[in-house]
Amino acid sequence: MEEVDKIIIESLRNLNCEIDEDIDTLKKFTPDIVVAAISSCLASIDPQINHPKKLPPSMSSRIKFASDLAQQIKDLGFKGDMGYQTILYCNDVDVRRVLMFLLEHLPKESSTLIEEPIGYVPKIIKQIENSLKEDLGRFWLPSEVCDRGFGHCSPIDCVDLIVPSSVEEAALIPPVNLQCSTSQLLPSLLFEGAKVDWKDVEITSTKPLDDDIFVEDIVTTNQNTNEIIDELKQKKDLIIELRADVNANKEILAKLKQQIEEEQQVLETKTNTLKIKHKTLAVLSSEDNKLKLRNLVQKAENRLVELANQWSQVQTPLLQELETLKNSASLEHIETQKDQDRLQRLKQTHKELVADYKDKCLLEQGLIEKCKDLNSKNSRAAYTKRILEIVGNIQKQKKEIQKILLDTRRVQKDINSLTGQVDRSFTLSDELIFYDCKQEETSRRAYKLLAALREECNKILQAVTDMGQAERELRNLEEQLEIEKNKDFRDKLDKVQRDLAEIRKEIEMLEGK
Amino acid sequence: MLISLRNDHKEHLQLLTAQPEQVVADFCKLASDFLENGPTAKLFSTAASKLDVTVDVIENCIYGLINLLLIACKHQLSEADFRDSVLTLGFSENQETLLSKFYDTKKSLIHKINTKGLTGPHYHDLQWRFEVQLASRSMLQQVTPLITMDLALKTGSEISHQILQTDPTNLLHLANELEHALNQSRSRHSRKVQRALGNLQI
Amino acid sequence: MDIEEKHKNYLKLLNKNEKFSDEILDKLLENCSKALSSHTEVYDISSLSQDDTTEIKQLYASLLYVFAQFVRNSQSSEEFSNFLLTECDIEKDRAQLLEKYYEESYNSIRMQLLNIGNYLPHITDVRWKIDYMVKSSTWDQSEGPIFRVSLKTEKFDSTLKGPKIEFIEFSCTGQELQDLVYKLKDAVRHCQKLANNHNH
Repeated sequence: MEEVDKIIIESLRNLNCEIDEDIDTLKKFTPDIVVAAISSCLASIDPQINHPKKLPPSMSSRIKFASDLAQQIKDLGFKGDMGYQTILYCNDVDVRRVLMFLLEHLPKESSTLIEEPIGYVPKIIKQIENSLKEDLGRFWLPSEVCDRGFGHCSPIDCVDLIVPSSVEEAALIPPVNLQCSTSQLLPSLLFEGAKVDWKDVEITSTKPLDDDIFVEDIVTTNQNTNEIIDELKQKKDLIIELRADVNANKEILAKLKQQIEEEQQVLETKTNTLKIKHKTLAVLSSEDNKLKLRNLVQKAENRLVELANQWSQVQTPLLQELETLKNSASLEHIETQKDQDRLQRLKQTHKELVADYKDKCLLEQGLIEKCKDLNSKNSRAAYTKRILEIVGNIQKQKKEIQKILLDTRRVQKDINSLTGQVDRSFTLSDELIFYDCKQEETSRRAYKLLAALREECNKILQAVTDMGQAERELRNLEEQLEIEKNKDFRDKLDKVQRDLAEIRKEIEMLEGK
Repeated sequence: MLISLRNDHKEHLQLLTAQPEQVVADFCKLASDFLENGPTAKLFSTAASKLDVTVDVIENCIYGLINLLLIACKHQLSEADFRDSVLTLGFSENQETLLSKFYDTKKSLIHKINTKGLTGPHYHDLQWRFEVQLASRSMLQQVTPLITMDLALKTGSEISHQILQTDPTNLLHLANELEHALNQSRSRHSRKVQRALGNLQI
Repeated sequence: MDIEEKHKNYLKLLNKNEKFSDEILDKLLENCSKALSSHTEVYDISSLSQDDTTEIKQLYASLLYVFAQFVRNSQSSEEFSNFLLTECDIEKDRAQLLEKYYEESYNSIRMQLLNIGNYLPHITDVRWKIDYMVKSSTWDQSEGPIFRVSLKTEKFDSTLKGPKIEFIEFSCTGQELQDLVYKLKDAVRHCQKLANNHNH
């Protein structure tokens, strides 16, 4: 029964019915929980029914509410005993029966899916339905204010649209939407090259052809227009050519201008160098100046030698220092190299550890999911396992019972054979002694004793069987007592009396009002 | 109610009053032939030669006879009224029975001719068909329900067909409006008007 | 549905950010949706670009074309932006801008496309009056009721460039009107049955 209770409680929790974690059998159900369970079951069977999930405080409305619930359960086809008492003064057996019935009647989930048409034809049919529904439901309006006027539906009317492909053309050709009327725009965009000259068609089809002059007229005008169009085309071509020429010339002009500028720059730099050279030549022409210059050069050479000596003096200690520093630097470098190696290794291990950690995390996640899966699934698997176990147990017990039955049967057989033996031996001894008792006094006494013995034995046997029966009855009574004790009628009786008192109080109150 | 005829009309009919019944019957036949097939000069001339009068006289007489019927029909003369009117024109009683019979048989035909006079196109028949336009060159996927109708109208004896279409919204409007008209014609107000006009006659 | 290479190439001009700023593009697209919905345009295309109007005109023509063509094929805005992204390599934010305009103008363009085509004269209204004939030249008795029905029909007229309204007039007796109403109601019932088919 515990297994059944677990299943029931689990299903109730799935129905968003709040049941405390520590309640694991129906025996622990209070009337409040029973009401909540029944209400949520009824609500999911028929979503239109919406009961509060708690008992009202007043006793009389409690009874009314409970009998409402009971009536609805009966309406669903519950055959057993069902009334307010089943809910308010519940015992686990009745509650189990009711809840099992309700859970069986829960709607299947699949039936809640809404059908969506699949396939081309059903979709079209659905669309037709919708459009008809919309059309028939729409309020009628005069066509002048309607969006979709069939009167405005114009036949396809196209013109050739020209998209400019060069700057020259762009300057002459307006944007496409200005090349035609608004009603021509869409067809002209979509059906390029499907142009039909409606005017020509109309003229030839509506006017009678016997009017020769008229036709000629049309032809000549057509020819005229053609000539003009040709001429225009030629002119346009000419314009485009000329423009291209102008452009080419402009480019050449620009290039030439640039060249001129470059040459001027070259000229300027050359004149500058020329000026400097002129000056130096003027300076070098006198002898005095040459001597002065020589002295200056001599002095500068001397100074240079001096400076070189000074430099070597300064340089040597510095060079030494440099040497030592280089040595120490190389040492440090070696050390850092080592450190780096160590760091590298540490990084490597860190990476490995991180990868390991990630693997572990993934494993954990997988395991958690599996665990969840198991948790969600295992109720079913576990239950079937349990059921199989129980079946196994029952089979084992059956075998044992069979064994015991065999035992009892053997014992019975033994008893039967023994009683038979006793009977037989008794008759034999009876006959023997009876035969002897005619001759001997002692034998007669013995016979009497035998008769008494037999009587006593019978009595003892009777007593033993009586005792067995009494024992069995006793056991029966004890069992009954246990059952009665389980139902704890006293408590319930007390509760009923309390409720009765409360109802009386309420009635009095109402009467007082 | 008695009808009174113009004098020249009376004169035209005068020819018949003097004739035996057989001739009156023949004239009735001639008149009915005229109604159905139009004037036939040949019959007129044979009749003229028989009675020894000019064709004009015969013609006038036939026209007069038909005109008499038209007038009688216009006023919807009862049999008794017709008899009295004919008798006052100077016909004998036997001639009158022949004419009455003639009037009786031609009444419905003349009624039909009369009512045809001044009517425009008249409703004759309507056929409809429900269509859904699923695609058009400019809109490749669409669902446009349409109701196409063939409205047959009768003008005189000619039947012309008008092919029209409409959409469900307008169809509903059309049906409702016309049903409304039909209900209006059965309303108390309309019945009153109808009765009043009926009484006006008397 | 295939879009010609020439249009794709023109659309690739959208990636020229320096030439077509967001502001210009916005104006261009607004014009585009207005022009396709038969409204007057807001901006002058030629003035949007300083000197060379070739590219803006090319782009504009192709924008108009793809908008019209995609609506004609009932393509969703996702499919539209998908086309722009994968087949024309348009930058993402530009494609999103185009998608926004496409979505906004979809219904009105669709309505314009639906309004292209040849149709029979379309009944849009009905007028009626009830006559009683009191007297006529050939008939002395009153008669009636006679129903004068006038059906208002519309058909596109190429010379008017708009709907031409024509009235089809006829008269009928009560019985004939009853017949007509019965037939029309029959059609209405048929429509209603089709409309509610799925519920039963």
